[in-house]
Amino acid sequence: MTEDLHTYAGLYALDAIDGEVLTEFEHHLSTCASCQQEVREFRSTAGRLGSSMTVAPPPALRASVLTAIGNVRQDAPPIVTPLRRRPAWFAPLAVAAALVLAFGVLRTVNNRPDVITAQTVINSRDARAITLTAPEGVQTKAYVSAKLDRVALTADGMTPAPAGKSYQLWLIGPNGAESAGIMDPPPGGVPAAVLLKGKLSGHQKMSITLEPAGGLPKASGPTLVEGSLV
Amino acid sequence: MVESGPADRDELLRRVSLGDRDAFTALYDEMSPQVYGLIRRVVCDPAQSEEVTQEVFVEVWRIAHRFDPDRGAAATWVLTIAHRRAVDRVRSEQTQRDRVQALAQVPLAGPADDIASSLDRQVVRDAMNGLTELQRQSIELAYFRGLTQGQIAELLDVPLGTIKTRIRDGLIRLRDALGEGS
Repeated sequence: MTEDLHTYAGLYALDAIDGEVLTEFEHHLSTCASCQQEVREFRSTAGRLGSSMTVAPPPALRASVLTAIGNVRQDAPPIVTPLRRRPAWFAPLAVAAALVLAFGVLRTVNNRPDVITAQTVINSRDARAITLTAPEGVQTKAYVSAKLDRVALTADGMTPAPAGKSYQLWLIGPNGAESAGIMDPPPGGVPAAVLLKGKLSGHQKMSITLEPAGGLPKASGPTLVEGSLV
Repeated sequence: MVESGPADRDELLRRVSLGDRDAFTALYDEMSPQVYGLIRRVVCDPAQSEEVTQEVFVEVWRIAHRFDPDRGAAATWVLTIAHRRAVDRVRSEQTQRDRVQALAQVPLAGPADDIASSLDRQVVRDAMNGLTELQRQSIELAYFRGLTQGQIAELLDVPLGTIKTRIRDGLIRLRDALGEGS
């Protein structure tokens, strides 16, 4: 199998594999020095092909790019960033919410020994796995546990959001879609599991949309993944 | 403008990683024709190509600290990001399936039509012409059209494993013909 994986270096260097094969090869690549060497050389060769295709970009793009980097911090940690454009009432409300949440968590901890994680939901005895509609090459499953009243999601083959964008999770009920947090899949479409914020009860569907980095209070971008939770 | 060598780009990128905006501007001026040219080739649509080019340069700015000169030249690093982004854009299109079918209708252009301008032109064209037909087509469909192994196999009606070995063999030949580094 190792021998076989070794021969994927060419396809990998040209970004021509996806899904499970990509995950497997990247796993292999992390420990195979000769594949790392071959991928480096092939990328350099591909770069030669690419750099022989020069086309001058429109002059306006230069100003646009230089403006854009003025708004982008270098080295941005890829973890959850706060919602933009908070209204003035947000701060006191956030404190109140934090207190309620803290109290809630304490009670939860008292009642159950474990803090709920995505894995807790996936492993819970009553969990049901529901396959969601996703783009080609991506497999997403929602795990719903009525007992824990939570939803977890696994995504396989999903690559990180484009620069300046985030994947935002939504729980959808009769009152519309409520943000259930942001997900940051690791590079290379490696399987990722995430626990949705918010409860299962009162929601019949979930979705993932592409939004500006950090997400928005209301969905505005294209829906990439969706499905029923019932 | 004086043609600058790979070492200059490595140095520019190193300065970019320290937050040097002048270095970033210089790197943009150096590399944007290559980045935009490659993205145009894969994405086709000019407006989308501009968007992707901007995404690439913003990403270069953001993650410049990850560049490691011991693992390859700055130009290769930037073009690897550009290709990945271009491919992501093409694959996220809802019409991906139509795209593969549409490509099936269009005869594959020869390398002479595809690869133009720059000092490398003749060398790259000769190297591409040194490949077998299947090697050349597979590499072009993967790199310049952003197709996956499965899509190439379907389009050329050849088994998956054959595509894999032809691409690897073709890249080895190109690597030997073109030498290392960009």
